Order: sequence, then C-alpha cells, then structure tokens
Amino acid sequence: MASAGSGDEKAAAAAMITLISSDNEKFEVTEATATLSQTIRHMIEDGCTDGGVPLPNVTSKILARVIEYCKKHATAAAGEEGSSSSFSDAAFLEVDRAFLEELEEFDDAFLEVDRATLFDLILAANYLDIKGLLNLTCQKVADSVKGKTPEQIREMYNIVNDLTPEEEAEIRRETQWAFE
Amino acid sequence: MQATDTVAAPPPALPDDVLEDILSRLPARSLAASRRVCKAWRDVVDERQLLAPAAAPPTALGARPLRQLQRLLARPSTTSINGKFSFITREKPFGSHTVLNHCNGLVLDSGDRRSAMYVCNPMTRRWVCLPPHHDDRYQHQQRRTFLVFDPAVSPAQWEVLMAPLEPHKEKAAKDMEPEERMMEWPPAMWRWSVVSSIALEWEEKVFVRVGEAAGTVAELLMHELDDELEPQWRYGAYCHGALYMHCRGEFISRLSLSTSKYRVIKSPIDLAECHGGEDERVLSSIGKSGNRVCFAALDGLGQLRVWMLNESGEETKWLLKHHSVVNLRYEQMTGDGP
Repeated sequence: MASAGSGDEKAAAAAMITLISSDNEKFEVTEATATLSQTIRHMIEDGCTDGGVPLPNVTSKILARVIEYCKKHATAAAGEEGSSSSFSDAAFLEVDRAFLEELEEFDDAFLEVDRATLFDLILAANYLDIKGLLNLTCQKVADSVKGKTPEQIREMYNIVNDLTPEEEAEIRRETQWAFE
Repeated sequence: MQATDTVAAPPPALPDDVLEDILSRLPARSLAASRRVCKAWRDVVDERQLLAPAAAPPTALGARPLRQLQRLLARPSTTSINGKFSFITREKPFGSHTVLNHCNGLVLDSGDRRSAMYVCNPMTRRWVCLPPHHDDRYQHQQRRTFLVFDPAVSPAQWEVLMAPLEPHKEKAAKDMEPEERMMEWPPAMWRWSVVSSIALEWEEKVFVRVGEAAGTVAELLMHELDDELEPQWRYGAYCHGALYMHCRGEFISRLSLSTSKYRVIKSPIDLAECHGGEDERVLSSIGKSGNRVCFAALDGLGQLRVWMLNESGEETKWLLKHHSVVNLRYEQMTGDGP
C-alpha cells in the first residue's frame, strides 16, 4: 500500500496499537487505522489496549487482510477530514472523485478472494464491528446469490440442506410464484 | 479469481444478524429461493420478515408493521386449514404449542419457548411473532392474554392485551402488608400491557374503573383456587368493542378499548357456588353467542346452565336461556381449550 504509507507514518508517532491474532502474531497499527473497528475504538476509550489487543476470533491470515482494508480506508477518512479547510470546493471535488475511484478499485481487488476467506472476512468484520468492511463483504455474498437456484447456492457455499422433503414442499407451495 | 475455490468444509455458520444483512439485500425472487437453501436461511427470512408480499412503501409507521399487516390479512394461498400451526417457523421446530386465545378468525398461539407468542391466521397461514415483553418476570402463561380483532370494525387491526399479574401471584400472602391486603381488586387504575398490529411494541394501557371493585386482595387470597384447578388461561369474549374477561367464577370485567374504562359485572353464580367442595364446585366459562355475551356454569351434578348478558346502558342483567342435566365429567371441561 504505497499510497497509504506516508500518511500513516506521520500519525505513527502519535499512537500505535498492537493487535494480536488467534495464532499469536502481532500487528502494529496506527490508532487511526485501528479505530475503524468500533470494537477496538471502545477498548481504546476504556484504556484497555496496553500490552496489545488480543483478537482470539481472528487468524493472522484474516487479520492481515482486515488491516490492509482499514489502512486504506483510514487514509480516505483522514483525507476527507482535512479537505474542507485545505482545498477549495472545486479542487476538493476533483481530488475526491479521483480518490473515490481509487478506493473502489481497491475494494474490488480486495474482494478477489475464495469464498471461505470471504466468510472469514465477514465474521471478522462483524466481530470487530467495521461497518464498511461488513457492508462490502455482505454485498459480495448477496450479489453471488442473486438469481441462483437453491441448489446452486448450496453448492457454491457448501451448505448442507437440512430441510425435510415435507418442509421443502411446503416452502415451494408458499412461494410458488418464485419458482414458476 | 474464484478458479481457486476449494470449499471442502462447510463455511462457518454466520450469525443471524449477518445473514439478515446479506439476505435483506436480495430481491423477492432470490429471497424465495434462499428460503429453500437450509433451515437457518429459511428461519432468517421468515423471522426477520424479509419476504413481503409486495414492496410496501415505507411510511411514517415504518415499513415493517405494514408488511406484517399485509402478510396477515392477505388472501389465503390455500384453502385447507392447518390445525397444528406447523406453518409457523418457531425458534425450535416440532415442539408443543398452546392456543392462548382466538378472536374472529385470528389465533393467538404460544411458542415452544414460553416467551414467544404468535398471532396467526390459520386460513391464510400468515403469522407474526410478537416482540418479547420488556418485563420478563411476566411470562404470558401466568398472565391472561387476549387477542382482540374485529374485521367488521377495523379489518386491518388487531391488539393483544395482557392482564397484570394478580397480587397473590406476584407476592406470597405471608409477605403482604396489611394495607396491601386491604387494597381493592381489581384496582381503580388497572395497568395492562397491550401490543397492537400498528406499533408492534408492548405498551402500558391503563383501564380506569367505573363503579365498584369486586372485592379486596384479602378476599382474593381467601378464595383462591389451587393453581391446577384453574385453567392456564381464562376465557374472554370480545363483543361490541369491549373485552369481557372471566376473572373468577363470580365476576367478569368489561374493558372498553375505546374509552379505556372498565367495570366489574357480577356473574350469575355466587361465591359459594364457585368455591364449594370437590363435588359441588361449579365450573364456569364465558363465550359469545351471536352478538351477545353468554355465561355457562356446570356443577357437580351435571347441571348445565347458560345465561345471556342483557346490557342496556349501565344496567346489566343475566337471562337464563338454558338449563339441563348433562353427563359430563369435570376433566373434560377443564382440559378443553378456549
């Protein structure tokens, strides 16, 4: 993340937070990056982040991806905050548009993961309460389900069908319009 | 990108809130397909009411109650009536359930777990799960709960009313202060809980008494029936915009929903009859016949009497309409549903 680097380094002097994954790997992040997670924000506010924040529900593989997302979006948030005072409106809009496009590209690339990772990212985003990431990943799953048959959805996410034939028949009857 | 997919193990189960977040982004047709994926997906679509019959416009009330109303009052999709209420997707499928009350075609059913109540229309198989009561000391099976619905007056509205606990059920008699025992019952300000189809939230509704109380808390204690002899619910009848609640054998309360006032009506049988010995005890019930409230009493000798309530203004009178001897055992009467 070359573009995010310079902004991060400036803030780094202020406050760093250590996040510890379930497999005991340590990640140093700036407070601005970490507080994209409401869960961590509350921990910082309560002053219980000394000695690192253990995240027993998140593996290092997933945490690395989550931090990657947060770094990028923390920079975006910082840019928005500073912009109103330092740019004229026209200039700001131009910068904004360019940055949003870049962010969108980043998000698209970020979602290029296998489906198991996608589910893990959703669980991590839910646990850490990162709204943007949760929104992004949930939308990805929703898009993949849209227009699919129940059989295709089950196959795609390897979901076991635990409905009895009677229940399935009842569902079919109730929403017949959808299967015509 | 997804060429590398190797989803061998089932993915971790997503919490219901997350699954709701995902599924709520889907159009109706995909939602319908999602209901057939597995139980967890079906339950989220049903319990979170994601699948509305038509895209209801969001209103000041919020889209959800409106959708639920539409679901409930929609035309029947099938003409057979499901008497086991298995169409309700409960927290725990295949458990037992109890019909707590019914009114003009709608049924108030209690779920497997004691806290859940459902208003459903067995004809259309549409149903709504009521929100849990904010005060969980009060479980509905200990309180009397009534469903009120009159399609002739207001086809799109129903209400569920829950009576407060009687004082002796909230506090053991020996712990009561003398002044508590001397309190009138029912109280001058009778605080009920109400949930309506519009708000779908429990709210307090205070009924103000007009006229005399039935007695005092002490009298209530003195004549308390054993819990097992008392039916789990008590019968009620909804008639002309008022709920007639069979409080105890000897009295009925008439609660007017529009004026929030209530009055105590003495039943045609007296206290001695209600609390006689094992063989003499009179079992009673209220119901509705045509547009009138009626009261039935059965004594130990098999004497069945039925009265009709004649109301003219403030005056109430019981008219004996039926008197016969039947061959019926107590258990058959106490065991029956409303």
